[in-house]
Amino acid sequence: MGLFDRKEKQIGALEEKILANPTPQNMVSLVEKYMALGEDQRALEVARKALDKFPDSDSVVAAFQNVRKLQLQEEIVDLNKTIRRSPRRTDYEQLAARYYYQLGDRNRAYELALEGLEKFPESESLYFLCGRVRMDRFHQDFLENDFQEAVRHFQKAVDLNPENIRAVSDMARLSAEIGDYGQARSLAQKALSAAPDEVLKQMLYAMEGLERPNSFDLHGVLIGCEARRGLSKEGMSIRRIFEPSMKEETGQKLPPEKIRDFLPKLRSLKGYVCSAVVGRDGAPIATHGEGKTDPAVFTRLLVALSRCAEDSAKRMDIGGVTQVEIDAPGGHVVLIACRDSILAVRMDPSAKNEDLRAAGEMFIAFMSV
Amino acid sequence: MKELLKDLNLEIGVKGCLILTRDGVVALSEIPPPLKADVVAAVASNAIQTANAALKEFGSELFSRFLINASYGKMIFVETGRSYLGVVLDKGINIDLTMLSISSTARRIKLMTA
Repeated sequence: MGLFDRKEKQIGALEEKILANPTPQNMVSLVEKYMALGEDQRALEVARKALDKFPDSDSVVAAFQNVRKLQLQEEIVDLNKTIRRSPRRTDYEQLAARYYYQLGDRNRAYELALEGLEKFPESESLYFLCGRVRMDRFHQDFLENDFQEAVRHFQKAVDLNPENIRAVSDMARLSAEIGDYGQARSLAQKALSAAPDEVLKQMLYAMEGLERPNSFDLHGVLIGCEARRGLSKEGMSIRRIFEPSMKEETGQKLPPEKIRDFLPKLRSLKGYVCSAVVGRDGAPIATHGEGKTDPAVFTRLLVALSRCAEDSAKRMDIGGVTQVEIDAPGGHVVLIACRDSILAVRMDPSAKNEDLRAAGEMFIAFMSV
Repeated sequence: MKELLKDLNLEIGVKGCLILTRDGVVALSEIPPPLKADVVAAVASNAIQTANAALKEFGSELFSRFLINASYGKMIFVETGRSYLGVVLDKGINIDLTMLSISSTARRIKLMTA
């Protein structure tokens, strides 16, 4: 058996072991091993599985994007060079589309689209892409600003080209998801008069009998989405028409006992002092600690820091908070937001950055089960 | 110090930076478009004041580093002696690598203001 045959067999065995007990860390490590071996296709398969299992893990998202970037490298480098030298509208449109549709890198796609719109403000395609990115962001963090920006960009695309049916359809979808049924019907019918669309028809059927209440207040509804960190029950049903493969939300939160059982496992982290978990609304769920830290006081710190971070991120328009790290002379505190909970871990000064990150990975892996 | 901030802005993933006093007053700012300098300043000032107030209530001293990681970007505040260096960053950057440049700039600011 040659050296590479042995390596492949070893990695195969490692893959079986990892997939039996996956964590974001070990799956990213497996992706990197396949990439080092030049097995890009295999790396991509594992990265897709990791993304499906741990969509909230930054390291998994980054690993997936890296694999795709490697595959599309030549094309992306050429387009980037052209943009730096003498950009055309179509270069921006193509490159932004590559980043969005093929790499899943919404951030870079959005930056390129905005950069392109500075130079080519008549590009309906770039406005449409911006609308799509902001719609995706809304479906991730449910922030009012993302909804408003999505609609604004789609509207600009339609203003430039009233035949842009995709933009009209997406606006119809967004309106339906937040309960503005009158607007949704009007837009859907406009789109359907131009081209048949079975999904839009399904949406109209699902909306039969539903009316927008007289007291409908867009700002109020969107604030409700922010607080809920999701759409209403009716909104979710509409969304599922457009994304049938979306995972079913059971609506059931993880029982507090399970979270209480998880917290002692953090003792394995170097420098661990204590931890606490609260809901996104700040309601305490569980605490654990063996030191002198008062759990109620630590929970108040958690809530204050997470609210500060959320407020900052919202005003900066950088989406929902995923992680916060704070260092002070007495030690470190790391906050990790995942699904409907926020974990805070206090660690003494001996803990390193990798220990703080490990706390995050453990929590994400636990919440993803 | 303005040159230090301009140089830091040239690093990969850095979108803008500013210097604030310990109680959140903006001393110097290099926030290029598309960021809005007044918004960044207000956010940075509020974040520093609120975080330190929360730490004080907890019985801790003022922070030396405060990192906010969000879905589409990051902000970090690093202590520089009598002030803080605030930096707005891309989401996708390797924070540990970029921290080398940020820490170096923070050290130089600390020496200048000592």
